Amino acid sequence: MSKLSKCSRSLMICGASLVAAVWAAQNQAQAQTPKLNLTAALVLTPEFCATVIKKGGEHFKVGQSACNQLEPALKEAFASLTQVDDSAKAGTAQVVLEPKFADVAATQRAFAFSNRELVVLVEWTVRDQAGKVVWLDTVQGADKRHNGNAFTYRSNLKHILEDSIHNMADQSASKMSASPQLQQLSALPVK
Amino acid sequence: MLCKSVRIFGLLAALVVAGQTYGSHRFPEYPARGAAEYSIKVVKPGLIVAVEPLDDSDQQKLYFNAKLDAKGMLAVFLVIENTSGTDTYLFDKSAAGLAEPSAGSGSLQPVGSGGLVELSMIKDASNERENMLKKEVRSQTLAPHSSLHGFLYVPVPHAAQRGKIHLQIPLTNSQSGEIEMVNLTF
Repeated sequence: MSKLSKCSRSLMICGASLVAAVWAAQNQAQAQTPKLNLTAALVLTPEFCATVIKKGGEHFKVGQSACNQLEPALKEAFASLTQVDDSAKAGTAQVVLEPKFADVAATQRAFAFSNRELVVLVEWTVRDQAGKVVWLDTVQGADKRHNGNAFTYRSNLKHILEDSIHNMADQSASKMSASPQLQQLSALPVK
Repeated sequence: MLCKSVRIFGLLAALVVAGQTYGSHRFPEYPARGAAEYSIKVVKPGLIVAVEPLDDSDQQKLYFNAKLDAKGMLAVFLVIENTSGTDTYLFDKSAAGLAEPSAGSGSLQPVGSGGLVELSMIKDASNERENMLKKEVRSQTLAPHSSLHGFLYVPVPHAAQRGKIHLQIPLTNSQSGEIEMVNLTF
């Protein structure tokens, strides 16, 4: 009995150490991503936030979800980020970030426990203070989830949408951080 | 009794596996080569732009699980390579499009709305559409010594021989702001 409890205690310690190591590694990786030394204005127009895409009889409120999730994700990529609803309100920001929904693909499945996929494509245009396009890219966010039955379908639909947008927002921040053009701009002395 | 339980469990497991795989199809990636290796290409200082039309029905079936020509579409694989060591180019997919020779001069004029198939106008929720979207070429910044590739979808006559296609690809030099217009005919 005591042998068994010793063994389970060792296993628990091993498990906890493993979880702690993974958590520390993740935090270190996040901390290592340097922020771009730029002030940015994120343009989320009312039209963008109201975007609803219809596919195969389903409505995806991609705009609403993106407008909730883009700012917190992109704040990780820039030294300073403000949200505006019109590019004319960007003020003194060094770069203006303009997203546009390129397309959405949603597959449908016949069975409740079958996996379906939602893919969201957003096209980014980044301009400098002079209005010149300095960076253009398309970011894909995706998530897979069960179709769901009559009781879980709505909840699953909400989650697949939230998670694919979350993925798109994270990918956007990573791509911007890694962009040589934005890094170059970030390295310029502030006028 | 045990045998019956095993049989029921096996049946349930089979149902779950069948449910997971039902309607799903694996689409292979289309192999991309260096832009210089394609037969239809335009070479400019600092840029190589190449296309490969997928006229072969078997290839369409393999990569798209559909005969696109029967649907009035031709998938055209586009490869753009920035061979410059200093210049950065912007590829805006929405600015790419078809062109037609003008009656008088014979020079190429862009077709009004671009003339390409807009996947966003196809409202179905099929795997085939999703695969087409994933394989479609995307707007992108081409840093020095980088390349991009993907498909453009060109409307063609249903079940008839297609004519010559004139494709215009504008690429903006991000430093100078100059636009390089690349014309490809195939």
